[in-house]
Amino acid sequence: MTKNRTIRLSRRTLLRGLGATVALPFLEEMRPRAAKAQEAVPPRVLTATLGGGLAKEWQAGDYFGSVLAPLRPFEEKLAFVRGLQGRDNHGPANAALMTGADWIKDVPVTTAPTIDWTLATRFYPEGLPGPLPFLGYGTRIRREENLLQVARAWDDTPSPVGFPHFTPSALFRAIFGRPPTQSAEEAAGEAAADATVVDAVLDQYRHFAGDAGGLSMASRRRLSDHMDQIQSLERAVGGLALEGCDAPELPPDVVLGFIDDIEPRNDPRRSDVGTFLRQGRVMTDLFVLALRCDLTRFGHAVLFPLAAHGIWRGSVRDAAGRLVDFDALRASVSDLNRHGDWHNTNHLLPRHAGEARERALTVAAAYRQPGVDLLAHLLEGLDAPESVESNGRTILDNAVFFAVSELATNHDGDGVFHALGTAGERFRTGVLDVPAGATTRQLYDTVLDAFDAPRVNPDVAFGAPGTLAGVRR
Amino acid sequence: MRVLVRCLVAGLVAVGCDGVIQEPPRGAPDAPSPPSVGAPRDLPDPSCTDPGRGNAPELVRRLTQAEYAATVEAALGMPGDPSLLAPEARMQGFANDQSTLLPTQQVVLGLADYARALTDALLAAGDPWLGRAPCADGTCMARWMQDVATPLFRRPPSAAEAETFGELFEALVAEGLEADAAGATTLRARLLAPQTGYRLEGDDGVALRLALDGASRAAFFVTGRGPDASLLAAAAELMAPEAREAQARRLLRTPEAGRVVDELAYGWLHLDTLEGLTPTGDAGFDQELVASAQALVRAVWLEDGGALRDVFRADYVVPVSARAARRLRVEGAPPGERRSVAGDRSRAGILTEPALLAGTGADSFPLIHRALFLYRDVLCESVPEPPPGVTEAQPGSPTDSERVQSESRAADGACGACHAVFDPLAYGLEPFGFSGEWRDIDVHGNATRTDGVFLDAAGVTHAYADPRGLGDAIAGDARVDSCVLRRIVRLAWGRALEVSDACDLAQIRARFLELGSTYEAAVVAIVTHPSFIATD
Repeated sequence: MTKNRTIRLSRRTLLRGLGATVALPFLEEMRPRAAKAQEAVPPRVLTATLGGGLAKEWQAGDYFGSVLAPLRPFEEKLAFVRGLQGRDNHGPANAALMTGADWIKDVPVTTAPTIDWTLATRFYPEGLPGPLPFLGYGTRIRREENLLQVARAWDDTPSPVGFPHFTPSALFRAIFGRPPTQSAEEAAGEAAADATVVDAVLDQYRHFAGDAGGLSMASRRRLSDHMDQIQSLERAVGGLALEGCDAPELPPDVVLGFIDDIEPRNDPRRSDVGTFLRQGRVMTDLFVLALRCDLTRFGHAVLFPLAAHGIWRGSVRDAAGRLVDFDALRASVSDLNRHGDWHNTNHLLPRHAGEARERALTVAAAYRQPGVDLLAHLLEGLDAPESVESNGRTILDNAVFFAVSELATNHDGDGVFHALGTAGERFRTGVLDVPAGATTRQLYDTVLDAFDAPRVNPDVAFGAPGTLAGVRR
Repeated sequence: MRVLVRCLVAGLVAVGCDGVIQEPPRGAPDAPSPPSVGAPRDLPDPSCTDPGRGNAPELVRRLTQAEYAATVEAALGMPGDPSLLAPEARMQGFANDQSTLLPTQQVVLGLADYARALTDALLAAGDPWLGRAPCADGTCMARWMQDVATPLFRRPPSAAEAETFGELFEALVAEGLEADAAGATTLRARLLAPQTGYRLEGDDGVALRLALDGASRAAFFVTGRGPDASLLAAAAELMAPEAREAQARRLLRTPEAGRVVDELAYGWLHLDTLEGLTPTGDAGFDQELVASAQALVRAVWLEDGGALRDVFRADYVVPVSARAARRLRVEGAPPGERRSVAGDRSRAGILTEPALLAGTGADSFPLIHRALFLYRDVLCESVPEPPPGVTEAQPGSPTDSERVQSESRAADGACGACHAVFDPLAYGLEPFGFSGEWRDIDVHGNATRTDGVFLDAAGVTHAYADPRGLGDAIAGDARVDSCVLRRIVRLAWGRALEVSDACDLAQIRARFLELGSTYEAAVVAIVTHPSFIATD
């Protein structure tokens, strides 16, 4: 992979992303080198998951008329596939998301690889290119006991391809390594010693991952994966020695402070939605930076707006641009849900009708809005002028890009949100209505067909086979 | 997955609360089973043949971060900073599941930080040679490494391996490092070597040597760290079950055995849930409550040698701090010491530990989650998932007491089929609030109740009046020991149990019951079974 690029980003810019004045585009000072224009466009596979569901009602009528309003600028960039049938309830829905696979009860893994993995290995049959074969980040803020809600990319074992980084500093560290703490001379000396250590360690791994190690193929692959990760380590121990792609400074850890405080629904230190959004933007910007630097070609964003029972404080802008305060929102449903939390408000939706349902839906929408805002921020980054590649198109235009949600209204799989990039004009754009009963599996097979990749394994798939007309150009 | 089950509606009508032992088959969707609540749930006949064949290692295992830190600390005699290691992903509560022990970026970078900090600390302390004579050349370094590497690799390093690190030392000196720094840096490479981080206990790194592998298995299962010198010395004998039993019983007497019991309690009792919940609003306090619950399990299982089920009728608590003592309603109890609560009918051993109550009750419907915990994780009964299209609407009023809401569910035709079976299990816990505090009146002003009924394995109903009665009823149920045993086997094997394990499980269970249903009986039954030693 070519790394001959330079991106400049000042400390001031990064801090602006972390601070209160985030209105300016975070990446405005990132300037890819002119040489970038001469390079071929690499195949990339990127996904974003809006975990927790997007109600079917918000996709009805004017698709961009409510929660999805921030995505309107991308109407000509993505196919918003409306009316897809996924699976109901968390377990089955998460198992089927991006896999098309059926579910094994109580087992928090899936039975098939995610299609991003299938496509990535189709593009790179000899192995995903480094230095970061996979990069994920997430705004989910609490530990999950269900791996399917944390690990969104699964290989053909199937095992998680990796876990997302859930804090800016962790993501930064994965991309840029440890920041130097010594003088340049000391750092240079230490880097040389570190490189020697890494070489010695890699030699040991090569031995066991090779024929001489005498291990099973699965074991050799596991050790080989470890070697791949040591490529990150190699960069890390070398200080910020990324070839031609300068790093910003380490995001301050103050942002991490609220991570542990986000969940308690009965705690006055409830999660501040503004802090959440600032952190999410910083992580998104770092992810985009890694893509522009061509450090990774396979990655995903887990954009959970809030843990299940969390309660926001602060305010968010609704589809009409009005600031809505969460305390007021919670009060508006206090007769229906004593906590006013996201999870139970979501559960109210099938239980009420008319005015009460509308109130609950309004509150549920406000809880979902930050996740959609972050998706829009990711799309902006991938589609910004700085993301234009040698063919004149942006990373968003060129990559295989999926934005998905596992559920629709409440815990219902009817009308799950799925948006698909054009992948180099292979797919149509705009809001695409699919026939009743069309399943996510059929969409996945449609996309896999476009790249001559293996379809979802019919032995483990749910729903009827087939592909969807009108999605491919 | 905590939020999956509210009202199971038509699912129960369709598939019933089947009472079948859980651990679902992998590779096939679950099949509905006929209703058979309270039916006997024995495993297959233990006289089956060819035991243990399904447990040979197919995939090299990475040490968990905790195992790694404990092994390194034991080897070097100096603790590292475990906070530098990445949090381990957990599968159904346990951190050592082979499917999640992945070499993620977080793990690899955490190991690098941990190793660096440790060797930097050795240098700063002026002890980079771990009390041995310093080296000035590669030959000396190779010898030094042969001494140091044995506990790290869980086997003596080969001459070639030692020589490799001698060469590394010389290369570092040639690059201009002082001998001390070069020695510490070479040690860092050893800490990051695959032989340290992965279970590669072959004598030359080519083939797994069964005895050494067995020694490591026994050590990690019983003590959570690599084998000590005695175990390594006895490795050649470990193919004999009697030798494994003797070693296991010896290791159970070491302080490190408590580490594994803590991990077992952590996963089984859902204490890991508190990592993201902070029910007390203070993560440090939460951890003290977790540690208090773990201390109780340790006391019953290791110190008292009680049956596994005895944790539900322990008549003492072990608060680890003053504020934990207050939360446990034994204010003034010395931290870390037992305080009797005999005669207190509001206690049910581990069931009324605040950490467990918070981990299973951090929801708007704590009664359901606590009942499901008891039904699934203590009795090993199975609850079907709601079928497609089900809603989770609750019958009754949200301002009713938990008990009244439950009775509304039970009376509801759709919900009642299952909820009527498992909800009553937690009736005795209704007074305990979100973070385990006792309440006579709930947040809606309703009086709380403690009475209920317990349906045993034979289908006999036992009425109870209070938490103590509930704990006694649970502790008297024959399903409990076998259910907890399954969790211990899962921890020992580091993977989910499968249908094909039924024969091995039945044999282990038979031996466990024969030995008295204690934790020690479980450990001995597991390590002496043929499944514990890999065979070629």
